[in-house]
Amino acid sequence: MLKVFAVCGMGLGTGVVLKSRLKSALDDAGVDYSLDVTDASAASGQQADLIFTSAELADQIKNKKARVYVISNFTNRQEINETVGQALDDIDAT
Amino acid sequence: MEIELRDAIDRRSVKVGAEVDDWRAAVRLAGSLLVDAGAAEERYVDAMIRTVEELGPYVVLAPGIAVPHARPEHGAVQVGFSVLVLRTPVKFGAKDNDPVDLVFGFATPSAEAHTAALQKLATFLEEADNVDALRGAGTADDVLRLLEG
Repeated sequence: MLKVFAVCGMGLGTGVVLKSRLKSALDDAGVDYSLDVTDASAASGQQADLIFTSAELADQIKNKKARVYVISNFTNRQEINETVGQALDDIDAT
Repeated sequence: MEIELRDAIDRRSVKVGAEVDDWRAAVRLAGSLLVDAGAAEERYVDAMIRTVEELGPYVVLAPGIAVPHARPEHGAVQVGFSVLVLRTPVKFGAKDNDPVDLVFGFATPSAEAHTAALQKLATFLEEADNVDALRGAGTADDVLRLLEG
């Protein structure tokens, strides 16, 4: 199972929006996954496969294993779907 | 209990055509609109600004659109959203989405109470026509009518 984090500052604003959109994209892709909202420091210390976040927070994530993907526009479903698709391709390729 | 977006926006929390000097003033105004409606205490406004200072401008979640907020324990009273349409956009220091002219402040007493309303707002903002209409709104009533739908 893929372990996925949506990372935002507090888990109240952008993380809530990002989580629902990632959920749609991952459901559409038909993969087995778990998805949690977390902040940058928690995301750095926990085991994960994929992390999605904003450009501002990406630099603060120091996770040894997970790949980190930046979403610029949280209201653009196409960007989110494409980024998730790219992330799943990258995982497959490894 | 889930609160509808429209029910979470008090008329006193909507301001159109405001002019501010910088992002701090924009966040302060968006926060004070929440205080005016009884959704947050004064100290919540300072916490909103501190959040951006400490965590960076990640609250700018789309081009021109920011959703500043703080934590429930920072003085949130009830679920409330404010809508601030700026006459002149201001920079938050965001990498991709500056400058900002639509500011949606919000307060929530728990991590879940506001999520339905926030999702509704985000879905509304997915449509470019809706965002354009908000930017073109002449009055607070125009804004409320747009968010009614």
